[in-house]
Amino acid sequence: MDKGNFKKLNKYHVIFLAQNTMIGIGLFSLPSDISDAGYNLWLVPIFLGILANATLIPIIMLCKKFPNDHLFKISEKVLGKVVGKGLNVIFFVYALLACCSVSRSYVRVLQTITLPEYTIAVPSILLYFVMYCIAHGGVKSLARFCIFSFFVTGWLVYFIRWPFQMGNWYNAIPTFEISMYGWLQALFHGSMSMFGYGLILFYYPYIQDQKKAFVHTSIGIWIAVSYYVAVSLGSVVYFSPWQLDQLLFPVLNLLQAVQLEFVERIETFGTTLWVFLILSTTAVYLWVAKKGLDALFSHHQNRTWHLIIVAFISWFLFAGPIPYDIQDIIFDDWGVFYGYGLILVPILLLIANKIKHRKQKQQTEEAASS
Amino acid sequence: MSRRKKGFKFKQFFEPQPHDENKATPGIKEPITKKALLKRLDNIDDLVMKEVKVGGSFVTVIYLSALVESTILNDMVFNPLNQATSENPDEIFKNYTSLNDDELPKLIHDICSGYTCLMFEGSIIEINTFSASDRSITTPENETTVMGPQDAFVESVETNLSLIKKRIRSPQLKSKSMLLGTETKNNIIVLYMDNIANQENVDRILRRLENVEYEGFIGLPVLKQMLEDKPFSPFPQFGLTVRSDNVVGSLLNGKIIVMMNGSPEAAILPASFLEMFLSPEDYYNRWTTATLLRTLRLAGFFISILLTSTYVSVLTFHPEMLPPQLLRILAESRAQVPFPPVLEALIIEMVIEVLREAGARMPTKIGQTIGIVGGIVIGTAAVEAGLASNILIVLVAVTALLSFIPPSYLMSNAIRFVRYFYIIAAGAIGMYGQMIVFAWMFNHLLNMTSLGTPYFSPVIPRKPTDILNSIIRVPVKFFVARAGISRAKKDLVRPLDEE
Repeated sequence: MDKGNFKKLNKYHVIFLAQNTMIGIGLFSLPSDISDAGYNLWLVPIFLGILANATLIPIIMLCKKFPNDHLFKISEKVLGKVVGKGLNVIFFVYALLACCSVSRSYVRVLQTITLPEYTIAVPSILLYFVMYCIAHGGVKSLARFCIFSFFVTGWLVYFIRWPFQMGNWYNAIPTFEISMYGWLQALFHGSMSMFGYGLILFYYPYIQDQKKAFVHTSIGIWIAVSYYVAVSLGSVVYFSPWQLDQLLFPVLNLLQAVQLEFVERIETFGTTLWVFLILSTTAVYLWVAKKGLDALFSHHQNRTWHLIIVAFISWFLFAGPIPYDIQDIIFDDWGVFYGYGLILVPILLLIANKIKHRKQKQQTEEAASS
Repeated sequence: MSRRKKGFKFKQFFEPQPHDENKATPGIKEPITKKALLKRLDNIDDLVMKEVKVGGSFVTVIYLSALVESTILNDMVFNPLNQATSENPDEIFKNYTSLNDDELPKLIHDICSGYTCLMFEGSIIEINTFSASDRSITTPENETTVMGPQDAFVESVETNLSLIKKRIRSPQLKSKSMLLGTETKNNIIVLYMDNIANQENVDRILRRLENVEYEGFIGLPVLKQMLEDKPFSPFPQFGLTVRSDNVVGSLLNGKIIVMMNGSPEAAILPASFLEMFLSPEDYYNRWTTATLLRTLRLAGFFISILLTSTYVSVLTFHPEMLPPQLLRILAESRAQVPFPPVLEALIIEMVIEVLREAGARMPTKIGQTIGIVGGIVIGTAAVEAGLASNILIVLVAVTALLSFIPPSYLMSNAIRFVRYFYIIAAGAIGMYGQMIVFAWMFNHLLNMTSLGTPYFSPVIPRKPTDILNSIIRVPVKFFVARAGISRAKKDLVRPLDEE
């Protein structure tokens, strides 16, 4: 498998990497997360999409300044070895926890829906094994799997037909009676479903057409947003406000509305097929975590055993003997802040880079004048 | 010595061993003497060595009688010798090859290939008298089509070449031959269209062939496995065919063909996953029928790997997925069966596999009878005895039939093999297990290459024109470009401005 450090991601790879790293487990609970916006909630993904597109600008600006380096290298170059490595530790932990958090949520849903009498050990080990296989193939393998999983799972959106048919379309008319606090709460809780496009900071050096990376990633973001809007609209039309607030995984209930002659409970099928979306999200985070370990311990040299280590740590964090309350705090409560961190760091790095350049310029001018 | 060197030398284990100098290798020089020749060829029963008096001196004639027919030998060697008046080979024979006196390995190789060696006083010559019997050209038994040419390859590479050259009368059809196998000296021929095929691909396969170091090949499929990119994969990475029309089509599409003497198959490389589901008959049919059949074959692949395992996972873990009427039928059907669904499915799958294997190995006359009668009798008896439900028998029979739809026999074997993973995973953790195996298998396929080109082409990487001839087959008039996987020199099939 090609693991060399050359440009290998074409435009389709970039579009679907962005889109598939966004749609993970977030979509499962999205309508519930943004239920603070009431029946206006289907507008929230659109606002989130606009915000995501806006925050993509500094990310791409930073990437363009360092076209051949990923974030682990950029931070070391801009902030120096020590501070850079310190920041890299945070990125590494973020990737590890994001991978872990998505897998954990999915395995829990899986356990609830399809395997109620089983522990999470076997399903999670199998999930990590396949995740390892995908990440082992390098960034191109990840991108190919993302494209594949889009086509394998994308058609599931057709199932919204039934909620649309049964529901009340008057609910979807925007009323804007929600308070500003409600909108902000919805945006805050919904933002978890949007993180993922920021990972372009790590695969940007492999992109062939770097000039158009912004456009391609934006397309990816808006494909994801269109899926989010479709599902949110389905929820708004089909559920009552109380249901929207109380149902933990509204997508499962949407799937229950599906009526086919030959299959009764389609949500079992939907939940298991979701593994493609989970794998395409988590494998990218796992690959980033592996790159982090490469950066921290092997001077950015490619080491396969790093992938085994990060996969094991990530699995152990939720399958190991760590109290459930602590897991909840680390993964669910803090998760959103890690995501914000990754999106905001490029702005800080851009400023730091500018200051660094200005200082260097001053020094050279002073040296020249003296 | 470092610690690493003490351990098992995995790499060295697979590295080619140095040449044995005593083996007959045509390129190496060694003086020809009668003593050395006899020493190398001792203990060979059919070695014939005759002294024939020609003119005033004796000529030694050496050949292997198993490879040479007596009538041909008489016509080509003994009659001219008996009628000869001079000792000069030029005056006795019209066609012969003279050898230098240091070409012993070449001489031994040629004698073992059916040549007759004649040792005159001052010169050594050889005449090609190889006349071992060949099978005549018949219809293909494995890749049958209703329409189209019906001549299949035979074991002689010369005959096979003639079948191909009969159809492509162009000097652009190049062939490179080489001898492989230290003992068998198999004649390998690499065929390609010089103006179409990708030179990088040609160089790559020639390099791979040169690096093969092996005693001998009993057939081309063995050599093919040594040339493939991922030896551990269950999926075939090169096409294999016995049909000359298939080979011609592939050559014109920019593919490379590898053939071997003694083997009726030809390897087509590179080949993609989707191409394993294409049959030459697709091009003989109208595009509508061809597209329908292609879709059916590809759908058959997915149904074949998922149908039995879905039965297992639904009955074991997710009975709530079935509508009550269907569940009732299934429950009634399974009422007598004491095994869990996974065991039941595995037993019946194995029975079908045994029937298939026994049918293939048995003599043809009884094979079919035993296969049909055995299938019906065992199937009915198994249901009546309560060993299996009749619904499962139906499902397994359907999947078995579907697994034989792909024209590529190796692909249908691969489908039947991977199906067991699905059944076991479904029995262990239900539909999630199936999906995990599905994800793993497709990740494997997405990362696979055939001669360095992505195996999942044209889906990944995409070439828009490939859509016209992949799952769908549009009318032949619209075939404007060659398959993306060939990376052909000339991409367009014909100049478009003519239309």
